[in-house]
Amino acid sequence: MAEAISTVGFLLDILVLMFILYLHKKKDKRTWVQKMGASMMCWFLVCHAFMHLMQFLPEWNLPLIDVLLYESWGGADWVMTEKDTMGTIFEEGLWKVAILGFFATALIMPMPVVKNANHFKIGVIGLLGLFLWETYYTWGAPTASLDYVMFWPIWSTLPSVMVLYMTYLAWNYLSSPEGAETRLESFTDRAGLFAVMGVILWCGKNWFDFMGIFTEGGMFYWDGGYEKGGLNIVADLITRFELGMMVFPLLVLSVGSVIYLKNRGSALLGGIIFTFLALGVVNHLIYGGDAPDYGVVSIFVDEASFGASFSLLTHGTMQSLARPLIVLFLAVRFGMVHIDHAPRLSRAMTIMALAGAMSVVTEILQPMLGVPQLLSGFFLGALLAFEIERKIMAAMQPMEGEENPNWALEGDDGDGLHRFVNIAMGSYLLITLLMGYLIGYGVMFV
Amino acid sequence: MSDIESTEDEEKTLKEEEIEEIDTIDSEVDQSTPESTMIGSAIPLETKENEDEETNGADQDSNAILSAKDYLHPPERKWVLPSFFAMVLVFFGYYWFTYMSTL
Repeated sequence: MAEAISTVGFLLDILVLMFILYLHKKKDKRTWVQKMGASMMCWFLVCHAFMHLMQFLPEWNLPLIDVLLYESWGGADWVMTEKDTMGTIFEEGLWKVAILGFFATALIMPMPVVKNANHFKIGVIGLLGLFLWETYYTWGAPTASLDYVMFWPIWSTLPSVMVLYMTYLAWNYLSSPEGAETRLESFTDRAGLFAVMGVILWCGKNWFDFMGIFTEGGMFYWDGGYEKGGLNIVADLITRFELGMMVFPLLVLSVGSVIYLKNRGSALLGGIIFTFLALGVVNHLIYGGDAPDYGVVSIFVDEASFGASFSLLTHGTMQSLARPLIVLFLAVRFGMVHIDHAPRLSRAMTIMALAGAMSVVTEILQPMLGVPQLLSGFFLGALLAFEIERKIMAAMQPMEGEENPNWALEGDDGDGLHRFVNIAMGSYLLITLLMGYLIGYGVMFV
Repeated sequence: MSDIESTEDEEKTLKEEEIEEIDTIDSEVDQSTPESTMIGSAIPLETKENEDEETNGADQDSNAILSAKDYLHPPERKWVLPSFFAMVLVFFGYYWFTYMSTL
């Protein structure tokens, strides 16, 4: 039953969330940067878990939204009554918080780029305010206008800018020689590691589906609104930028991994990138290279369909399994939580993560290659027998001797900024929920 | 032979005494004088202090945020940012022209 991928994804999100929250509550010597990083990772996991939860609820079904959005380009066929507007607005709000939280973490990990806490606060409040306006624009009264242009000016732009920033950090890191000789370089290297993982988390699932960019595939033939002029041009440019930024990091990481191999002799990243490319080529040549409707595939998978199973193995596993595991890695590797507080729990968390990922992969491979799912039990037994989970946890730990300054900010202290951002995000979600109710039930803003 | 040996012994003794004296002077200098004013120090005091301020200025306050400009645009690898921009231009330029040709 390959459709269990959403269930396993949901469970992993919740387990990793509870694990990080438990350790986050412990008092230790973490810096404000690490504590804020932990909070932002929790926001991401809340959003991701809710996304999976939505897939269990038919009336909040994402594929319906996808279809409606596709048909409603230009606003002509917008049918709001056919979906749960309130639930969808809230889910969008969660995604926006997750993106903002991840961006905020990229800007402070391991060193804040912004020195003044007040500037940071203005940026967060400004973006949350724009998100609220965007919710009104995409769901409220403007949709009734005849010349309404459907697009997300902020929701499409912000993650694209975030990915562009992280891609640059990754490029900076991958192209640097081995061994950080100065304090600054050591921070740059760590920022690069965070960025590489972040880029894979946000874009990795798309890399299997967009090989067409090299052969003038579907990426160029989507019927946009460019020719209609006016706001359609803005919408089209933003959408092109968003689509381009899904693929651009793959190009940069491909070049960077070759330089990294030459400079540091590590083929790990290169191997991962090569796997993405190889599977993307297979998807493009055999299945036409289209992005799968993952919402449909993950729920109503036809196990006899090799193509649907392939989508699950690539796009699906990167979306449902890899993301919570990457967040777990980031939280432990960058000291956002200290696993020393609960070694047994940490071991259990690693085993559960491995078991979940392994069972899903063998489950998907079963109809494709005839690999029996029972093998996952044997693999798990082998892992436990050799205590590989301990080695994984040890490898994820922060490097010895890494410097973690308690960075001093102007305008406010780091803990104050951390608290402010959390309160702002929580308040934003509450307002979004209220706004979803008002719009969804036609009380106001419609 | 014995005369020669005694002369050599005397020379050795003199040399050892000289070395001991030099060692004593050196150790006194080590204890009383900063390293930068030591004889033989290749870098003058002022230059070295300036360098320390430039390269490790933040070390004096280890919690002060380092320069964002150097952090994002490392001075010893000035090609990193331009090469990234070049990749952005090539990628989106290719994307743009191909996309426009399909309209």
